[in-house]
Amino acid sequence: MFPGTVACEAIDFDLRAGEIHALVGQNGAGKSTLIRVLAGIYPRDAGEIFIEGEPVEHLTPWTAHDLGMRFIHQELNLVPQFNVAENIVLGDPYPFRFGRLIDWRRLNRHVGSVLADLGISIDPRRSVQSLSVAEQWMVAIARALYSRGRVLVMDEPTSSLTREDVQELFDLVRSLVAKGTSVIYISHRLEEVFELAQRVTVLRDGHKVTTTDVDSIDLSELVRLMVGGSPQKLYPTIEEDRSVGKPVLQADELTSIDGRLVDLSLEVHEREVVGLTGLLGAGHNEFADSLFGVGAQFSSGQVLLDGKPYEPRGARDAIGRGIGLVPAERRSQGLIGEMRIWENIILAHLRHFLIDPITQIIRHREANREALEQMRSLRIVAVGPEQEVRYLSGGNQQKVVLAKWLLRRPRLLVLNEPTRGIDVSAKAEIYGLVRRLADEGSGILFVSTEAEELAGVCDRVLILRQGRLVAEIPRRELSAQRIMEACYGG
Amino acid sequence: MFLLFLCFSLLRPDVFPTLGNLISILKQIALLGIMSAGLTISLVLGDFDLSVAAVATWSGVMIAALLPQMSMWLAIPIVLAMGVGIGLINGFFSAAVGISPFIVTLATQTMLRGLTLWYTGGYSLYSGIPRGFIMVARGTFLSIPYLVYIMLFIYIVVYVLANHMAFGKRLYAVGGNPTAARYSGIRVVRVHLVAFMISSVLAALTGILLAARLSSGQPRAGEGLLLSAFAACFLGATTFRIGRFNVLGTLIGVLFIGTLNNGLVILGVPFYLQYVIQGAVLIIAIAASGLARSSIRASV
Amino acid sequence: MIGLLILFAVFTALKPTIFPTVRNFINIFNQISLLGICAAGLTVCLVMNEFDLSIGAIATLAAVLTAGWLPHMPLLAGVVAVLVVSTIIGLINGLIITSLRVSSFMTTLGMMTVLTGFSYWYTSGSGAILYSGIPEGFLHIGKGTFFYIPYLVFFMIGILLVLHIVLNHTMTGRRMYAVGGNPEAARFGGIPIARLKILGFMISGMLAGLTGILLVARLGLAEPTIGDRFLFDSFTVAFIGAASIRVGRFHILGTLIGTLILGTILNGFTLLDVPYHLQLVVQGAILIAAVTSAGLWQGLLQSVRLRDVRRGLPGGRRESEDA
Repeated sequence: MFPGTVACEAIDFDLRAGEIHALVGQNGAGKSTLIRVLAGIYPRDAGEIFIEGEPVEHLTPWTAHDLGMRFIHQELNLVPQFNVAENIVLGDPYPFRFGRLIDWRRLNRHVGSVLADLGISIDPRRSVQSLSVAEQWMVAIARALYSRGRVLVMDEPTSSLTREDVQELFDLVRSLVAKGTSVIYISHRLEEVFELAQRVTVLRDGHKVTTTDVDSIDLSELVRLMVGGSPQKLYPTIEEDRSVGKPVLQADELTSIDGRLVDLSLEVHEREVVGLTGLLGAGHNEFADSLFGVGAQFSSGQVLLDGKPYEPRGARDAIGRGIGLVPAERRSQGLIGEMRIWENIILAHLRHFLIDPITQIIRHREANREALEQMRSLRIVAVGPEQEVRYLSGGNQQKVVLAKWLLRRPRLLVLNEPTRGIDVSAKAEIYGLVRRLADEGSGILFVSTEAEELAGVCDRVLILRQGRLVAEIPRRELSAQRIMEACYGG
Repeated sequence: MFLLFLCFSLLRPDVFPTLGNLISILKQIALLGIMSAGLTISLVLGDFDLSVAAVATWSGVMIAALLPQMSMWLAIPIVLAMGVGIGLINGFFSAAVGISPFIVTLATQTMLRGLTLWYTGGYSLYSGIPRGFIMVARGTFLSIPYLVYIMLFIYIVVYVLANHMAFGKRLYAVGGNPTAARYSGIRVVRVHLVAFMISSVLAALTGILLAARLSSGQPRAGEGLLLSAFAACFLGATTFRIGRFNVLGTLIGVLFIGTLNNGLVILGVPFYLQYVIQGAVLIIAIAASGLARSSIRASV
Repeated sequence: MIGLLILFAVFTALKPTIFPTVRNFINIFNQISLLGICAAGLTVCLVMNEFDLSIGAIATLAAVLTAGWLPHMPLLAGVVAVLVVSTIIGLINGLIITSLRVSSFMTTLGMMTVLTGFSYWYTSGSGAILYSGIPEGFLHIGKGTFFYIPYLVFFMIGILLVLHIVLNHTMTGRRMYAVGGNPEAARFGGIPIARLKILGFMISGMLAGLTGILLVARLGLAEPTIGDRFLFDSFTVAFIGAASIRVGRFHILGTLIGTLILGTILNGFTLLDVPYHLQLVVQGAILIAAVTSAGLWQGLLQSVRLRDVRRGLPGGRRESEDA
């Protein structure tokens, strides 16, 4: 449909009518940049874009819209104060009455029918703030499809969705394609590529590596093309009969105030990596936050840390007791974008870098040294410890977050969706780090919704459903399949 | 900033670039400088402290009221403590209760103005102020007024605070991303509180020194400083760490404003025109930095 | 809203003979009518997260120009001319802020200084009061009544109504809210942010100018500090408004309520013969109290709502990756 040579990347890309074309590549490979150029958000420096054979000159977000391109970016971009209906029509004309006044009734009806067509059952009058993440995604999709587009570009749509939501999404995409839309699908989840797409283009370091039919390639080959070297082993080997130490964390019948957790009891031992998972909303992510003291409080139950009672009252207390949390939202919860690497790394433990407690002046040099040390051992790719973290890629940013907690070995490290939106090689490194930390004596609580990684990294996995513990899968039975089944109630 | 300097030097080569004049500039902006330094700290967090001028005025009046009755060494800490208290109130309502600091400081400022008026009945207090006190403001050392030394000292302290002390890191962390700061174990509310206390206490100091300089407590003393202080801080945010408030930048901003005013006065520009030019220059400065910033962004 | 009711109760109790009369209410409306107009214009900017600090100065300049020009030209021409000038000032504000991507706070601060200078300049730098030669008919607008309700009140209500409809029921208005709510989303959705912001500043400029014009109509004179208090008061009122209806959101209706609250307070003060300085103190205290109570109230509602939410995480931005 349109070949395009783009920007500083010299990429050739074409999309055929009625196909689902996947775009894969590591962080920094250029996927999002390419999409932004196509969306008219970034200007292009060289090359051309053709749509249905016609060249396109100046591309701006609204001309792209006019030409039939529809985008769903990673940041959902909904207006929080608006309801569903208004968010869906954002940017498009509203139906009118009396000249310029908005006809609300017609709007709601119209939007309602569009939603029904798509098979989405959300009331258009609801405020988007009250929706779950998955529902918000549905709204974003509905917005993209509201006015019939010819090309739909989806950037990482499934990171926050459950398996069944993902299937719904796929059905939706397939039905759209049947009706004539073409889709560009970006994802880190390679298994989705195989399930959904007809062709796949691999980008690496800003260049196109290849475009090929999905049928003629397999997973490891794909990974190889993305990474460019010999296939790395994704998951570290775990010895069969490891011994674990005494319990670091003992949680007894915890119930949280908002009802997300009910009578939850679990244990994490030294040298152990315990996985915690469930379907979206099961309570596993919430537990991480609550334990650290930044989420909902526990209304009943008891927590013991190293045998002593612990009441989560705030991050400061948790840190004092030796708990670290790698939060789910890296950018908004984990890092201060404008601050430099070393500043972010020492942020949780400022106390230890002071010349003396009275004047509280920071030992700049020592902090720098520690930061360099961490950067080296975690293989953080950056210009130096003085670089501001917002310029780092996602994987490197996450490593900085980890470094922050590794600075003083935590007794218990809780990771909440640690590899979300991170490329393959960084993931592998993080898995290795987690295991290494466990070997050195810490207890790890690994909260995630990706069954594969849980199976690959953990010693055992706990399944939550609606706030309750429903299953525990020991090492020998551990597999992605088994985890999935348990989540759904097998 | 240097352009400005040059420009004025050319226009009045006989008066402007003399040492005496430079010292005069410094003297005039010393007080503005102190207030702006405190304000910068609040602004890092995004807390617009509108009450600084009122705090200064109130402090000036208070010190003038207390001095006749007690030793200087007792009166000054008392007034400073009041400043801290006001900052605490500001911080409490904005950080702990959650009201927009804009509103809180607006309200505080109104209340302080009322209190000041009530206490003074509209008159200045000028009796019974000891000579020693006034000398602080008027005296010089090596022909540089004490005030300038004080200002420089304050700036050094605040600079160290913001850039080399743990508090400074926490400050910028909360300013940059309050959620992440919280997740890193920083007590966000406390940081806001301290920031407000700092800006208020420095405002109080400004007021005290102002009273010393005027050798009286004036019920309208601090008012003109508010806008200039904000202007200085914002100008400062266009220097050094672009887009972020920083102490050194504020200093430059203060100097800029001082130079500008001084130059205009020397040129004999009538005061209303001064306003026009000040405003215009401010806008141009911002515009220029805005352009600079976007060109940097474009090339990244 | 509750604050308003409380105020009513308090003042009624204190001065039962005078306060709750129709005439007094009309009085309140009259006093705050001009503030309402000015604050309404500001609200439009605030909806988009922009601060217009120059409104006080625009009002002053408009007043000064009106008083200066009206004696020399036909009424309508003069008024229109001043309105045009005010709108152009807003236009300039908007242009600078949007095309250079600079802070609205600073730009309007600078503009305010510039305009104040101009006002003084026009009045020959001496802060003199202009009052001669203002046509009778004009003054009548400021002071005349229709069914006992002053024209000014009609103006205010009319303007508030129009702005309310525009903000809530036209596309332009909704888009403005979008810009304020999530500028990224607005941009991606193809909304012309710059144009809307410029429009916003033009509106606030124009209404500030109108305020100045009507000031002259009411007072019959103009001097270079006449508009100053509108700056603080407008912001106060708009923020109170944002705290009342939907917390955190600026709303014309909210601004109206805020204006009423302020007006009631002032009226009460006058009736109770409260000395000026005390007025200030109480004003500040009430401001805090009102906003606090509104905030607490909302907080209560929030926590109740939270418990009812069965599934679904609080919505938010997902982890975004960069490439």
